[in-house]
Amino acid sequence: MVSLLEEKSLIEKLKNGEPSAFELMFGQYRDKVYNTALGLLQNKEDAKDISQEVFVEVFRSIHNFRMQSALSTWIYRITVQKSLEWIRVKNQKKRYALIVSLFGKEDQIQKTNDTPFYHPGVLLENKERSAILFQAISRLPINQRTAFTLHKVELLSYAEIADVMQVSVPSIESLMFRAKQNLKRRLALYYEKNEP
Amino acid sequence: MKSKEQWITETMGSLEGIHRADSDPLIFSRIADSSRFPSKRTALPGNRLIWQIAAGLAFLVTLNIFSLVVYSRSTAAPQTTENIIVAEYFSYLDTIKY
Repeated sequence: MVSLLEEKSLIEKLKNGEPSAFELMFGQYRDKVYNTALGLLQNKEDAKDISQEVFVEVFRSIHNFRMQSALSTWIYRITVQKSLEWIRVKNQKKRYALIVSLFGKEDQIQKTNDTPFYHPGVLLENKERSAILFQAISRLPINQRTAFTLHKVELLSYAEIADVMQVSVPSIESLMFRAKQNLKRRLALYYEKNEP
Repeated sequence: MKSKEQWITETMGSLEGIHRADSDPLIFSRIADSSRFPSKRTALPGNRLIWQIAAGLAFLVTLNIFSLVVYSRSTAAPQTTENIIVAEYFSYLDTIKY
């Protein structure tokens, strides 16, 4: 756990462009950034690319950081924004592929990645079930997906998620409630189709 | 065989005990090698400041050129006999007291 004083000193060093400070910050946040991106994107390569983009953005924007929130909150926020932007672009490509398929140009269709996602941190006995859950999570509305992932995958508290998403704690409670309801409904449909 | 409700509950709980995924430590070297990440930040003046300095310099250069042109014109007047007579005539007028 980094104290407030240490964090302030780290931020000052980052603002002065000290490479050692960046290395220190990278060491502290690389797993958090990667794990958050991985939970949201459900793809290791995409998560790696987003992690890289996040740290470049942190380095580029550190001078605009006003310390109105914790450094971790700010970095999580950048990670979520970058990941959601990535998802938006990917969804646009999928929609384009769908339109192209309607006109019968099969060769131009980009194959969508429907392979199950196995999170490397999930317990072995939960591997298969978690893949089904992740598939259901990927079909949630974006805010519910973000809140649920930050809570269940990155293990952030509701208050921390509220800071990252810049909404109130009751809003997060509401998002989580709706996310769980939607997931249960989707899992019920899955069960009926695939009866394990 | 598990009931539907039991299966859903177990699936919903499948993320219990999850560990944070380890990132690739090589990402840092990838970032450090990236041209977007300079090893040492150099303070560059903003665009506005550059334009203000450029405008100031342009103004000074114009002013200098203008002064040179005016000076060269004033000193380049030929010293003809006619000019000397006219100058002397007007200097005489200055001595008259009304």
